Amino acid sequence: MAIELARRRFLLSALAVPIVSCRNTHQDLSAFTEEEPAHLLSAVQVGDPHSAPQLLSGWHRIEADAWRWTARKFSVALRPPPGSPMLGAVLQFRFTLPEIVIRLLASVTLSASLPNLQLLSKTYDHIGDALYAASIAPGVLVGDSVRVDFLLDKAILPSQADGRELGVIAHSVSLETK
Amino acid sequence: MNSLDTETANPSASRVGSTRFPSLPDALYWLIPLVICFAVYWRGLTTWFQADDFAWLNLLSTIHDRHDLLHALFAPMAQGSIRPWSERAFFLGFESLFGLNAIPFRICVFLTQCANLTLIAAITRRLTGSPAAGCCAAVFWVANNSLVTAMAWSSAYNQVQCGFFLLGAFWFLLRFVDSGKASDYFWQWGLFLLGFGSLEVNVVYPALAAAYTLLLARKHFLSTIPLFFPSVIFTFVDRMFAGSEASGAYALHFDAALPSTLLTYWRWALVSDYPPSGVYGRFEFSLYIALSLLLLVFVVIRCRRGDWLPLFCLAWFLIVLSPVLPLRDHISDYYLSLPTIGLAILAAYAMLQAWSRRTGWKLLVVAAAASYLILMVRFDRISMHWWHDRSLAVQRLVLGVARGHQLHPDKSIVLDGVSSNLFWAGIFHRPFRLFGVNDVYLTPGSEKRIEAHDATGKITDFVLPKGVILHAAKTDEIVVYQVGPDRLKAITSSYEAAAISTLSPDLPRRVDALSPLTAYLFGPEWYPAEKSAHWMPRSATLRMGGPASPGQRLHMGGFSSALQAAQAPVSLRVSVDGVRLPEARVDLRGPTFVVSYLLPNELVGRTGVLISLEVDRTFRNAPDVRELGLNFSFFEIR
Repeated sequence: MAIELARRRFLLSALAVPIVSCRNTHQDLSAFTEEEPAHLLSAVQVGDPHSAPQLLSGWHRIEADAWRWTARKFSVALRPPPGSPMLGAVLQFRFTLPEIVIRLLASVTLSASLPNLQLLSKTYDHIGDALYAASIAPGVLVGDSVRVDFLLDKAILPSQADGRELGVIAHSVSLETK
Repeated sequence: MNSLDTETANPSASRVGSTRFPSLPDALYWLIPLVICFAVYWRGLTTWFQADDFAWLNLLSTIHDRHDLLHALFAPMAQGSIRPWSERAFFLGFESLFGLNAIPFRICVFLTQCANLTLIAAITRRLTGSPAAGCCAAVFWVANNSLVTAMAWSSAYNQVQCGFFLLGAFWFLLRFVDSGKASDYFWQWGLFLLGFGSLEVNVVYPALAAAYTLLLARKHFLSTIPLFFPSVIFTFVDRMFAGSEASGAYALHFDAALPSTLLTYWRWALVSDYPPSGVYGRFEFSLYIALSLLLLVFVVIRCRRGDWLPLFCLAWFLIVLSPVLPLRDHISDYYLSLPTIGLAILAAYAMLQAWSRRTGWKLLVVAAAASYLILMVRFDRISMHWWHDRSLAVQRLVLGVARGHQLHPDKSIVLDGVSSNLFWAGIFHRPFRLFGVNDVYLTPGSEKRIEAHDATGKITDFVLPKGVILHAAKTDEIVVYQVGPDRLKAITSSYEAAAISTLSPDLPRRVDALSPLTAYLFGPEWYPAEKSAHWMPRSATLRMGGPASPGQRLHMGGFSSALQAAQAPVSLRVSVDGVRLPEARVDLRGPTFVVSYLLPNELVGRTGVLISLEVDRTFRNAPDVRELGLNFSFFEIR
């Protein structure tokens, strides 16, 4: 009986080993492409963990796999998109103003700046999704990366309930060629 | 009693009892065909997937419960065919066990083929009484060019598997004729019935059995009559699901083209159809004529002497080929895989007979056989090389795209430098879905490098319009790869820079509504595009290029949901740049819908037009709370 059981187990193992060894569930695919040297992205989804290296300062942790709270000041590094040095670009920042921000602060004014260039300011006083868009003239964006600094005129101060300084709920920042 | 031991007892064997090839150890007679099979087709063991394989491989992802499994196994697909064993179960089973490792699929093909070769050798032994003739028949068959496709392409496994059922059933018929045992008769029935799950050609088996018994074992003829009933029922059911195409490659033509089609297949069966026209010279033509004469004269002479075995072999060829003869516009070499079994047995029997004649006859048949084998094996190897290399190119492409998606999951992948072979054997069949990648496109202009096959599909469905790729380049939504000999090479930066300086931002005349790259063309009313849905609410707008010439039409298509299918048609009101088009009733009873409108000439030449859509009725599909109008997949002006 024991011999029969052992024989069955052996036969099952003999069948299972080639099957398991033939399955390519985790095949290393790295040899199938030759990638360009790594560079920054022109568009950053701040809820994407891969975007972290480009979020320079003033960003809190990812929440709900989709967004982050900002602080009052926050900065991001972006790659000037192809053609933008010649054609100019549009800086777009998509965010949400939650009810608590409007209730505590009534409104917030957001401005952005590039090195040596101040972009426009805009005031937001409605709850919900919002877009900050600023035009950048041709010739401003040069090189492989550009630092963009955002500034809110006010933010929710750290409290006992939440020790963070809270500005707005950020979704994405991008530079797009005009 | 094993019928292999009954050689002297069967009538054919007794007729050829005095004719014997030089004796070899019996094992060699069985082994030689198998060794030749591996020697000629060994590349087939390492070919990857290509073309239709991807449709079958994608089946596994559609199975979530028992109902899905039954649907995947038995629902009519691909010209209404139902081949549960040779296509559905074959791909589902091996993919479940081994993933996308092609080698186990290929080993299964080779093992089945080894069984077929053994059965042919055994059947020929039984019919001729000669082990050497059995060996020769298997060798002649395995060398035939018509087997290349089946030995190189997993989707053609149906030919090999159906061969197994046909040969197996016939083998048990021979055993039944010899032994009279009911068990042999029922084994024949079992294999015959299983063959219906393999390939439609299986319907001809009763004709084979009837022809054999009529010519060589008449007292068993009546026992073959019941076999016709399953074939009649299957033919009726198959025609019901497959329908009959009035046009296209699979349309049946019972006309004057039949003899011409038969002659083409006859020529391909004797000399390869692979040689390029320049090489297909006098030698091949002479060989074709010589082999034809030798075989046909042999049949006539033997019939006049009352030996009906050659006539049965010829009948095998004609009977098994008959279902595909009306496919005038789809003459394919692999359709010969099973008919050529008859010719292989015929040729082996002719050799056996010649061996008992004068030396001149022996030399003649040896020369004919050698010429046939040299020509066939030469082109077997060339064409196996082609199939093998093409499959590996497809593998590099598919796995390269999968890698690109791993590295850039939020971007669409654009391929540059795709050849005709890669497109039709790979991209056209959307193999990337196996890795969850849907957004793969070709660079503008790719269609000029790819040979068009309009009856098969449109290349332009895969090519990004210039305006769309320009927008995607500006918004950093794409990665661009160039297809290289060894791997895909990322060229995103240089391609985007060139695109921005050279491409015009024209609005496209074809809009893929499911592509994330065309989202900028849709008004804010639309719900976000999903993998297989882009819903509009009650009304919506989109921008696209205007008609280029008078008489062009706006075509729109999409998918209907089960809830819509049960209701009356939806009224769709369309206006283009404010010009109202006639109201259309959209029939949503099928899985897809298409509507088209003739565009007014006043719109011709406009670089962009605003299309406004409005439906008279919307619905909600709980728990989805959205108000849903129509689900579009494309818009096109042509």
